[in-house]
Amino acid sequence: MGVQDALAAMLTREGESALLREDPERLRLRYGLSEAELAMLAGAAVGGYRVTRAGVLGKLRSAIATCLPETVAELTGGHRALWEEFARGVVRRPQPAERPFGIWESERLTAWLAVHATPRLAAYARYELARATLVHDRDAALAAREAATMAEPGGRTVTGALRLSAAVRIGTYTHDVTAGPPIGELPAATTRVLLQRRWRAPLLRAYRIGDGTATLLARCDGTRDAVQVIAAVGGDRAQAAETLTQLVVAGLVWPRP
Amino acid sequence: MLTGLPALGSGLGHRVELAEEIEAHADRIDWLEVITERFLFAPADERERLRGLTGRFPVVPHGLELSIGSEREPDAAYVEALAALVADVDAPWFSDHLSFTRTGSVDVGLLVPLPRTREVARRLGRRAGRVQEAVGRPFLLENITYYVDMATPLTEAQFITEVMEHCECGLLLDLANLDINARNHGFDPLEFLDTIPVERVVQVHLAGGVDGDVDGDVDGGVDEEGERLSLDSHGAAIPARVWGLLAELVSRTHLNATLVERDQNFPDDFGDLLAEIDRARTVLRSRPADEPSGRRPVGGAAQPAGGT
Repeated sequence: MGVQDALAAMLTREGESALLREDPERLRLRYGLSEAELAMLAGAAVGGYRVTRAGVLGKLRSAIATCLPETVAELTGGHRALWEEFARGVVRRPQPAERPFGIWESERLTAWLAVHATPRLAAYARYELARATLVHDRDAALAAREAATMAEPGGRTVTGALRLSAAVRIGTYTHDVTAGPPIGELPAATTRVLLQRRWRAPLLRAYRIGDGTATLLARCDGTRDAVQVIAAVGGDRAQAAETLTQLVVAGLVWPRP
Repeated sequence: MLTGLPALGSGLGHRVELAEEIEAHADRIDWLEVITERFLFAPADERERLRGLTGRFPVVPHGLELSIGSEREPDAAYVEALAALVADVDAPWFSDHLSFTRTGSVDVGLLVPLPRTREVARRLGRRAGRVQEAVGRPFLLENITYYVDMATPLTEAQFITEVMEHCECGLLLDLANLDINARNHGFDPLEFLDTIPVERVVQVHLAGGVDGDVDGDVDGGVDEEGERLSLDSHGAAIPARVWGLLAELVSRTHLNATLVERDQNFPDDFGDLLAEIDRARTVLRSRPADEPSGRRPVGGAAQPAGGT
């Protein structure tokens, strides 16, 4: 503990900042500061702390906006009090260097909105988080490159057990998130969405999928070959085979390596 | 390590919003600075796009998250990835800030000023030297804008000087930050230049800020104490004061590079930024090419810099 810990706490928690004015001895004891170190902190103008605190909140907003741009725009535009309540309560924690910028903070906001926001906004935040996570996923990018290569004429043969591509994520939402924004007008309808990471722009494609396709994809778990997947799905085998072929051609389903 | 560095000329900070215009006006931009963290652990296609840029421009990674001033050592995985990135783009140097961004339990998320003591300066200098050694290219340390001006034993200029005495790194002098800090905290920027080892300045940053109140609002308001601060927004044209500091610095030492930074309020006409890049280049060239640079090996006598 020391000056850096005290300063970081004061800039991220308003209660700690107030201690410097209201009970400096408590601040000194809490962070193990010497008298000289406390004097350093006390010697700075209050306005400097305030503008830096505003900067911390601005950086939090920017970090989340890189991942959840529409959600942040909706929150700060139409639900300002909600945003401020969230932002005041968040203390960012150091993350492993390889974690994509803003993802941890976006996960916190998404979880918080699930409790405090309208179902539409909560659903859209979860959708944007899924998109951002997939775009930054290095394995997904490599799978997308592989799919782009294999998409060339004569590049694909499918044998053996099938699995979902690492470039794919599937989510279920209470609203049709693919219709947004505006978030406030998303139709209320249970919607399954398949996201595909691509090697070339656009980096993401979103597809609404029906129950049949979702069931088929769920059976592509790396333990079954095409015949077994179709058998496991049941129903119209010819239609299942056709759908499976389309999924393979689109690079959404792959033979297990 | 600072001798023999290339003269990159007048560059621009690469931002996604500017990417198309940069491509369209590549002949007017001498080099690019990219944000390190955008590419450090990026997916393969993002790194491929970066390599595409290096085919047309010299590229220098500029970091925000090394947190070289933290009490803890820098993240080993970060430094290892940084070395790989610098090698990948064949950068002549790399840079980050004289600050900390996190402690063991809190990520503040912005550049926080350090307690300016000799102990902190020495620790930082030695650590920067180790990072430079690990990465294998010159490491430039940049002065930040700070609004919390702690009552520390050293001034900012003295602190920077102490850091430089304990490493062989270079300086990235942000002249906009110097201008803003001088006005906010009431010191003379020329005395600042008198104090720091200007011969260690390899590159400068040029940008414009705004005047606002202490809540960070820029509507011209003031708080109950009537206090106003200049804010480092990177969102305005470079002011005359900063151009004046550039001319002053160029009259004192050789610079390898200038860089225009713009992060928001991008001008409708990209020509505005090109004009700033041109103007910086003109100032750079105003120093006679055959004049000794004043850059000297650390601990050695002054000698001309190579490659210029």
